[in-house]
Amino acid sequence: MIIKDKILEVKNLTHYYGEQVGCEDISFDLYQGEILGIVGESGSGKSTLLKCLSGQISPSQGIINFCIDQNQPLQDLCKISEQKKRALMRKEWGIVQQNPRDGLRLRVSAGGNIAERIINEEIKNYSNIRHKALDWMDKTEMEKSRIDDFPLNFSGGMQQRLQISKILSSNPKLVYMDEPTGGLDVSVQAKLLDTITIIVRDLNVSMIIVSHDLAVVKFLTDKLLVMKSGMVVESGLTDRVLDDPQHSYTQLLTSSILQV
Amino acid sequence: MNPSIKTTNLQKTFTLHNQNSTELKVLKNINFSISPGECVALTGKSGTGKSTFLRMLYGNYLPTAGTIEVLYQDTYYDLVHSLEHQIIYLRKHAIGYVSQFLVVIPRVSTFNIISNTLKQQGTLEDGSNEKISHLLETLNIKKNMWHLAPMTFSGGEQQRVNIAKTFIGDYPILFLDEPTSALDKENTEIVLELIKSKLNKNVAIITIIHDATIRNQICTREFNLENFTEV
Repeated sequence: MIIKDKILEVKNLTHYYGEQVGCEDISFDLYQGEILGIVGESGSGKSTLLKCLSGQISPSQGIINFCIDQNQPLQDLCKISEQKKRALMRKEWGIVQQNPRDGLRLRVSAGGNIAERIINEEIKNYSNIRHKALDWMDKTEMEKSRIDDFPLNFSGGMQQRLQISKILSSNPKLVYMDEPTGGLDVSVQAKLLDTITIIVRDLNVSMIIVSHDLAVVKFLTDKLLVMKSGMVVESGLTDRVLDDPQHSYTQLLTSSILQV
Repeated sequence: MNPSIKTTNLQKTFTLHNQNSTELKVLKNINFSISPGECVALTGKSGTGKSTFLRMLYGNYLPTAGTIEVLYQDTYYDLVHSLEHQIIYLRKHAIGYVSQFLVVIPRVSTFNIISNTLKQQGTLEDGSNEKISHLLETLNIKKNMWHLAPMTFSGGEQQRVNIAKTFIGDYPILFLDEPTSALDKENTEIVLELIKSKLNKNVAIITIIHDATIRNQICTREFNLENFTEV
């Protein structure tokens, strides 16, 4: 009855920068539609883990099995060809960069940015692509009239909305977000957060979100990994980890939140 | 009839690592069960662990020892050792929780908050809007507020939205944490009637209600947690 497909399986993942530990002995599973948060202080290895998972760096040790085809067993990402990995990155994965300027082409129109992601798909007709881009701008609450403008002139919040539109438009299986609301002011952040929440719940997409903001993960995620010095010190259901933290570091983290 | 929930030797100790590793032994050796159609009130002085117990049954607190088994569609699920997505599934379909305070996504309208429960349970259909309207009318939520987000509502209104959000669903088990604390007499009566109709449909209900007169109107049994605290 309660059976879901596993889409990612990580075993003993370790990455060293020379002698320095990036992340060490990380294991977890991710199921279809699940949203995983990774929290921890700066330098705890969150971003290193995310980069390993999303194929941006090769781990020193460990296994990352990903579901490429539902009817086939999971495949080890470290063993597939670079070409295949590129294809995965283009369609099956989406990486939402912390700084939207890294994930967008600033001198290509907003519509063009979204189109880039969906043009290799079934839709090849220009007006359909434009229509789909408008649809996505609407979903992320952007003004549709900005479709022909360059994101270079957008505000930070708008750029992030555009990046999210772009990534989600190809209907990816797995989305990685690195501090998606970092650097935005509070009201923009709150609005962006519930946009993300509503969209991802509707799409049933799986996500991994790195953040140091506990309010963000509480709002968005189903389960959590708490990292310290490159290791996972606690994991579990998000509300369980935050309301009844077991590890001393998690207790320190949750007791440090200011009540507003 | 098979119990809807059963616990075996359930125990909870909090260890506060950053406060001299203080150990708070709250509850121990709880063997509890509840059958469909029963309404059990958790009782005991403040600080005995009523909320702690309820939170463990919802998977929100991690038991230090013992098991919790939850019945859903003729199968028992071990809540303590289930995977996260399985617990989330049980929360969507088996256990409805009316918390003391309404927690919702900002900017989502009252009506949509309630229809979202049906969406989650996969029971949203053509007649749903009527069903939602009827429940909101029963709970005296004015029609001109339905399309508004409940963040700015009064305490009593928020509590009724919170009740509607869970009661619209078809959960075989309900947890109600002080469901009438912010309500006037008239609205309390309405909520008690809704609870009774759930009991008639064989829902198992665990509740925390301080007011004994209210408690006595709906509860079939009391479970005093003072018997399970460490001395």
